[in-house]
Amino acid sequence: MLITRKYTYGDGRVEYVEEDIDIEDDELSAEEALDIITGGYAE
Amino acid sequence: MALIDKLTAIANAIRAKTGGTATMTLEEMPSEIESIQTGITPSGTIDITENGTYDVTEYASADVNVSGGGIESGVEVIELNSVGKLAKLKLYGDTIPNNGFQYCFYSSGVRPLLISNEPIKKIGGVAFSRAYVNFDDEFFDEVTEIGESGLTCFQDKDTELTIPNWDGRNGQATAEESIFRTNDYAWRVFNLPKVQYIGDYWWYQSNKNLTVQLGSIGYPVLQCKQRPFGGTTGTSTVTVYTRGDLLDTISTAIKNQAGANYTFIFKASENTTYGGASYNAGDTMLTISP
Repeated sequence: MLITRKYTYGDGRVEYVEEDIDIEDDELSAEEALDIITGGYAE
Repeated sequence: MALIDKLTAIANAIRAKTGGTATMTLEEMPSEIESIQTGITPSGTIDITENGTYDVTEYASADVNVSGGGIESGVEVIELNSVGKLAKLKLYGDTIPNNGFQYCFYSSGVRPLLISNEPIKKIGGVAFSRAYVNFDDEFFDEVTEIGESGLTCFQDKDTELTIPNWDGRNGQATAEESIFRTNDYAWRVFNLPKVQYIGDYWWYQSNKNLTVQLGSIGYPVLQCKQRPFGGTTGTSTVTVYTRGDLLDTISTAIKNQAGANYTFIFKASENTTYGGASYNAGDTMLTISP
């Protein structure tokens, strides 16, 4: 998803920058990541 | 030996014990003997600094200062609630090991309050992952190392978390990932004034409204890995202290894939310059907002 962020600099300049904030399709959810991470630490 | 010599020897022996010097008759000898005190009169103090067995017969008192002992590590049950469930636990030792409390009390309906017998210094990897626990107010005061996913827990006691002496790492060159990667705790305000190394996915996909401070004057954020706020939603404000020469790198990383309603405020950790302008410590150099 493309969004626009406003950049306000300390010297007064202002810019608008478009950015893509989509995460990759194969990124894990927090739950999935925790399951993998905790499994990796199992003793 | 003549009889008189024998009697003299007996009298001498008596005087040696009584400390007397006077002569005595044979009739006086029994009472003199009976008046002789047996045993030792204790006096002085013995200093004991190590475990062991000591003869203290001659001493009037003992001054014991043996270091160590007691519980070195483990958990002590301090309090149960009204229905007999764990309410308070005291932790011994300064380290929460990897997996230490992983899944502890999960969905059990209890959240024991954890206190520590001595300051906690290290929280291991996934140490509190999915754990239902609360922490007392001083728990994190001296923590300097936190492992991967160390605080992905279900605490509900406090909405504000302060870790005053942690630089973001785990005793290694860079920070580990996913430290706070969960929506399951009540923390909404994170005060991390000495954090200088930020890891991957620290608040990844958080759907809460957060207020986060990273670094402070004198403690610039030096390194930020990818997507600490990636995939987030909610309306949040993140204040980052850093130097002018690091600002572009840090800002690019820290806002990467952060939610549309996130505001990032970058302040000078020291007198510095950025974009040709000079800033005093504490000045805002850049604000990235919706």
